[in-house]
Amino acid sequence: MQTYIFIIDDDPIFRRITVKMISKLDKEFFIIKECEDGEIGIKELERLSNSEERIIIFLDINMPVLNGWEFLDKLIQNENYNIKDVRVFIVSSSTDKIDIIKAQNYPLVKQFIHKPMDLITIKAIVSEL
Amino acid sequence: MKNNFFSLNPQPSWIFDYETLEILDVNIAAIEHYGYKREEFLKLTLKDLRPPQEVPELINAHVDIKNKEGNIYFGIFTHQKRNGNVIRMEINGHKVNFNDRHCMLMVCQDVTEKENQQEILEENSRRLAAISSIGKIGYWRLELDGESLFWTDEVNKIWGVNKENSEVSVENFEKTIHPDDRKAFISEQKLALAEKRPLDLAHRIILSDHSIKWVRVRGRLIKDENGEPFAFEGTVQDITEKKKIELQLRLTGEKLRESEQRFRTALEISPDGFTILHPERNNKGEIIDFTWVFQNQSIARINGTDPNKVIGKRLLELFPSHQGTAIFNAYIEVARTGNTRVINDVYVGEIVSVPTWIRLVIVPMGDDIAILSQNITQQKSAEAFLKESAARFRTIFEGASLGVAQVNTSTGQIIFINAYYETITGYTREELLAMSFFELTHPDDREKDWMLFNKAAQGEQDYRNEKRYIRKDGKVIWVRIHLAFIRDDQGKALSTVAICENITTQKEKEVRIQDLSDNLPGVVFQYLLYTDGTDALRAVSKGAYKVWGYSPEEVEKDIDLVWSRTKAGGKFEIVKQSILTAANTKTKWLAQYKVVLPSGEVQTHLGSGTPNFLRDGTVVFNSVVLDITKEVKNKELLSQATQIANIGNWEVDLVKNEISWSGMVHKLHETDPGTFVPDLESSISFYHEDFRNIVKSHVHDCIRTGKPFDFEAVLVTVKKNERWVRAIGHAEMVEGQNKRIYGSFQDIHFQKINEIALKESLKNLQDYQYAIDQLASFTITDSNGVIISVNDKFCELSQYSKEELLGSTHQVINSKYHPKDFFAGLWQAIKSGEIWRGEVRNQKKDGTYYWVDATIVPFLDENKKPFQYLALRIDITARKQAEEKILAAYEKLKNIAWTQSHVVRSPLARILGVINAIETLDIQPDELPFWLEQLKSSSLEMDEIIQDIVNETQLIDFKK
Repeated sequence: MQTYIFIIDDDPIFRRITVKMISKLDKEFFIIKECEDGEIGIKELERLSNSEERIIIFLDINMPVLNGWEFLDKLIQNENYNIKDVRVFIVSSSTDKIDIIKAQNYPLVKQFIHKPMDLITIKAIVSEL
Repeated sequence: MKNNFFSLNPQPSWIFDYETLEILDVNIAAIEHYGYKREEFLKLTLKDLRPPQEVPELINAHVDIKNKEGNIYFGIFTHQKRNGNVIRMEINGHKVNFNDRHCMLMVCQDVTEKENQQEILEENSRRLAAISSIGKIGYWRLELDGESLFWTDEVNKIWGVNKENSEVSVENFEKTIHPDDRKAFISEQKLALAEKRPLDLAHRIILSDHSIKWVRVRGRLIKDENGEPFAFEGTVQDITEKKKIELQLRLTGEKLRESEQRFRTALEISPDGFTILHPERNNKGEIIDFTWVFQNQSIARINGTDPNKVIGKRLLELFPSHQGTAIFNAYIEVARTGNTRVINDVYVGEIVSVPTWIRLVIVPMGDDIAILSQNITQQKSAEAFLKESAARFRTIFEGASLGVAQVNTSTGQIIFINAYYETITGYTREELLAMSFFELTHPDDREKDWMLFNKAAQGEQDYRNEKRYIRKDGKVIWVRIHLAFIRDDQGKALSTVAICENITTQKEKEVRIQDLSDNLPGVVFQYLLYTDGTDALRAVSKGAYKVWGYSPEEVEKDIDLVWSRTKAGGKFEIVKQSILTAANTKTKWLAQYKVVLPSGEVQTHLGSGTPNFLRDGTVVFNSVVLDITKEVKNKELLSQATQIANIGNWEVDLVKNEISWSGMVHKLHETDPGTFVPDLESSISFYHEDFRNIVKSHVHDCIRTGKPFDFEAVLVTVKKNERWVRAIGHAEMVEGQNKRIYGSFQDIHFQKINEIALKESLKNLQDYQYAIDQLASFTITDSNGVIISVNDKFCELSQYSKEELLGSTHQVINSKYHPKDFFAGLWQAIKSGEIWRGEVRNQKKDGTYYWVDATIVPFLDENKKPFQYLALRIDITARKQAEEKILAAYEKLKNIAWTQSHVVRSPLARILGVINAIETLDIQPDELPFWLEQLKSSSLEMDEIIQDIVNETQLIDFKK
């Protein structure tokens, strides 16, 4: 079993900082997938269909092509591509209540994280694995 | 007293001076009835209302008028209208003082029609009496207690006795009964008295001159209310003529039949006498006698000799009378010449001393002669009888005041016909003999006649028929025909004898009576109530069309047509019960009830009838039903009007200074007529003070100048009740002097209160209307949404003119803003009768929009279906626009919030992220410029966003 970390965000700075933070974590080995938009994220996930893998997704909402919500809908629609363990963490600059309430309607979403995301938050997420 | 009741009385009425007979005043009804104008009337005297020949009677009626008081009934007189029409008036009157003259106030009733009816009825009963005399019908009645007997003159006529010298008694009556019929009479009488059956018997009576008459006696018991018989009554009819005809017919028929049988028997007898005689000559050779050579048994039976003993005997020795007879001479001739001789119909009674007719054939047999003899005595006597009966027949024939004819049944050819037929048909005997009775019969009667004839010919029933013949001159006559059939052994009809009575006169009478009953007002008919409870109508007059709405034939066929009309009127059970009661109690039937005609018209009918009881238990009511709808209605209206109107009348006699109030006036003032004496002052003081002055001025004007008044005012009664009344007053001016004022007084309280309330509510309604007009715009549409009414406000709002809006639908103002569902919901609500309310955006003619708060009210018809819709609209455009602006501002603010959240925080989050990274992730020095560059670009991005937000915010219009 492998642990994948998907960083789905159109902001390259965010992705770069997040990769750096993950690399700071001890012992653990993660396969990191950087995706510029939701659609790329879906394609990458689709490759892992029917696998026993564990997947952590950091998902932005506001993205071109396929935004965060659309990504989630597609994922649910495809029943997580029959991947054993998928956890979604929304990471958004939005502090809008409407977005937060909407996210609560997706059981797949484990947490709504306001940008910027810090190392402690990532550590906590990984430690729960 | 002269007042409204005089002038408006529906009966002609006038006032006249009974000394000069001048007419001084006359009411409207009289003017209308007599056709004189008022001015003309007032120039007339009573004499002018009468035909000249009636004037003495008029004078007579007024002879002792001075001594009469109170209501005077003058009687019924003949009057003449202006146009000369003569009418019969029933006149009542009473004395009045009119302008200080001795006058009489007359009230008249036109009874012309009533009298005409009476006359028709009397004429009818005279006719009936005449008919009973023609029919020779008498009436008798036997009181059971004292056994006293009464009978009418007609009975005396039948018995041929004189009223004066005959003693009417049961005993005397019974003596006259023919001894052969007495037993039958007594037995029938017993049965009738024991109520087994009504008496109905034909028997003979012997008159004082020993002549015999046939009578038919019919009788029945009459009972009192306890069902106890107390009298026995009935009719007696002279049927001698009828019996004679029947008898003669029967005798004639029988004799004819008898003769024919004998004739046949005679034919069957064979010609069987046979004799051989030998001529004996004298010395000159002349044949002087014959001797028997042979004779057979047959001839022996004729001449009474023994065939064995006569051989060799001389003819003249045994039958000396033969000498010189034609037969004897014939014998000699045959013997001498040898030629055969036939002698028909020889009477040998003188010769053989037995009345015998024979036919002889004499043939030569060598020297001898043979004689064949046929005994034709019976044949001969039959012929003689036939001749005789034919002769008798002819006597009956020719002498009778009846038509008699004999017809060959198989060919229809007329064999005999008597002179009477010539008289009634106008054809000669020769012409008739070449005709058949079928030709003579009226075409309309032929079918029925032929059917009856065939049935009778086959012996199924007797032939008795009343039918029409057409005379040679084309006139139609009515005849009653009896037929007797002469039949052979097998019962086959050989010929018929017809007896014909001319009944044209009777028939015409019947027709005339029918005509009369047809022309009576109402319908005349016979109602038959059978023992099994079923019923039927017969002899229905043409009045059925008018009274029942059906033809006489229809109701005769189906009485339920009439009953169904009665049922529709709701009184069927009562009417039926009244008939049964009349039948059971043997009393006259009388009922008044409502019916609904096939046309839907409701009428009131008055029916009456007299029950007659037939032998088989059937009850026949001779009845008449009259349509009295109008009379009943008038009666009802009159009574309703007087009850409802609450009108009283009053009079102020200015000469005697007296006031009189009618009961109703007292009632309206709530004063006691027994104790309260009104005067002018107190009369006026009864009015409410608000009205008192105006009343006073009206009354005083009337008194002073004679100006009539008519006002409505509030009265305060003795019991302090306020009541609206209407007072009408007139003055009676004589030579410029007001003698009295009089008038009517009516309770109009409820009308007035209602009127006031109505005015009030109308006013309210108008106010509402005004308010709505000011506030709201409205349209009214029909059930299809087509605009049928619109107010100015709506025209103003929509910018369309009334003309443009009327006839179109609300589609013209639709702004296409609302979804289809919106209007579907609206229609669903109002079509089901609910009120709909909602806010609607409409479009003006210039294309701009406006918002209305619309309320649509459906108006429902009696079936709860909307037939109109009222749409009330209040212009809420301003509010709507404000709302829209607020909404737009809100939308903008929402956008700002979103922008803040997503756009503004995005560079901010990145800046924070970079700083965070520098602090925590051990950034290498060579990497630092990259991160600083990121910080700078993110800050610039953020600055740009903030400027955008400020610009956007400044665009929000916060004005209302």
